[in-house]
Amino acid sequence: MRGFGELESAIMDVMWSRAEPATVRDVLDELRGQRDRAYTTVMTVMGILHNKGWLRRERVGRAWRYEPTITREAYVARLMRDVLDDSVDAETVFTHFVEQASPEESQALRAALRRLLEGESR
Amino acid sequence: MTLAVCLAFYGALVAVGTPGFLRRHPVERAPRLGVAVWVTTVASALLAWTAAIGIIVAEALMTVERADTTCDGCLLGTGAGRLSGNLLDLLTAVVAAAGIAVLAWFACRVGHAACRLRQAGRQHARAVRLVGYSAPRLGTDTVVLDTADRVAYCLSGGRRTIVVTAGVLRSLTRDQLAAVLAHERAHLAGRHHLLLASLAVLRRSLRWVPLVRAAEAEVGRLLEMCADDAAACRYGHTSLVTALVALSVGPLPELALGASGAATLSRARRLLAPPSPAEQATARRQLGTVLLVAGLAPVMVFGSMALSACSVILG
Repeated sequence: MRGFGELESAIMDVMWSRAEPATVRDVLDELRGQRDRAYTTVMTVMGILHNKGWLRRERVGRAWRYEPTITREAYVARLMRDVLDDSVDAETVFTHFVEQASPEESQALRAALRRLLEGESR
Repeated sequence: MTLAVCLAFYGALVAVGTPGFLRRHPVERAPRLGVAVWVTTVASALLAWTAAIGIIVAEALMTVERADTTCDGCLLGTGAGRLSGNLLDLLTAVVAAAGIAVLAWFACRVGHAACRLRQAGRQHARAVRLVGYSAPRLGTDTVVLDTADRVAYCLSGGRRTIVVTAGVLRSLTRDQLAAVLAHERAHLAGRHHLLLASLAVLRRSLRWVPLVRAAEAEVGRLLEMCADDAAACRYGHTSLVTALVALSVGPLPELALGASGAATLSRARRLLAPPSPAEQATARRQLGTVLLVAGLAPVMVFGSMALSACSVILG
């Protein structure tokens, strides 16, 4: 399972850069420039991505045609909501580098910084 | 029984009194020691209560057992005597069952919360790697998310990952960015996320205890200072504090909800005016004393428990 992480990323990159749905064969063709992958490997991983909810699929003839369920931007926005959500019951514990300051705190920070920089230039 | 009451009282005292007590001490001057003190007091209070419940359960079970053995020879006991004896047995059995139930319920809640936290963290980490771009020049552990929000954080679901946004890359100079990444790496190296996650789990399971409520926030604050110290060691105080200001001051991302900047201000002040060695030494002495007292208490508890267990078994 761990080895698929890179391939999952590569496949999603391909899917997001396309305007239209893709079959396993289409994705394999686009990946061919980067590294040679077996058809069955790509098929397995796309199946995994489907099960995890990243891709939806419909049958076209004998093959599945896949497309992303959500755009990259929309998912990033969702992740940001999770990160910035300060509710006590938030599911994940993040250590943000910094938290947002109120206007008064911003002013105090700016003043303190100005004093430091003035001190250094002397 | 008196031991159990003493333990419960001690636990309650620590749980209610510690937050106020520690807030009056300059914990920020020795953040690592401060973290140790908070963790030790939480552990000490929880241990005391668990021990109190354990003693009550054990004594109840022993009373029932003893009553059984003494009543075997009680063929001449009066009807009323036997009835009240049975009631007492029932009561002690109920108490024992209640004690076991409380401990089991608590263990379940903790396990459940821990699982959910871990799962959510893993999911977020996987999603970040899928949705973000790798940035080899920033490090193999760094992922960049393409958004204007200025956010930098670290994750540890599986692979240790540092996440920065495009907004951060645009707002900081190279030195400032290096300081931020060093700060996040210090968190990962110190396994701070494990400690915070444990405290978060406890807070969810024991919402009504003041100590546990305060511990997660305060320890979080102190761990930020620990990471600040590590990053400032390498990249200097100026890079770090200017990065802090650059990322916290300015247009708020639309989604930021009421996050307090007070912690940022105290971190910036601390970086701009670091405590003198004398102040640090004093703070270390004070906190060291508190740590010793808080740490010795569980030792004394177990010592007295062992003594009372021996007397029960032998007596």
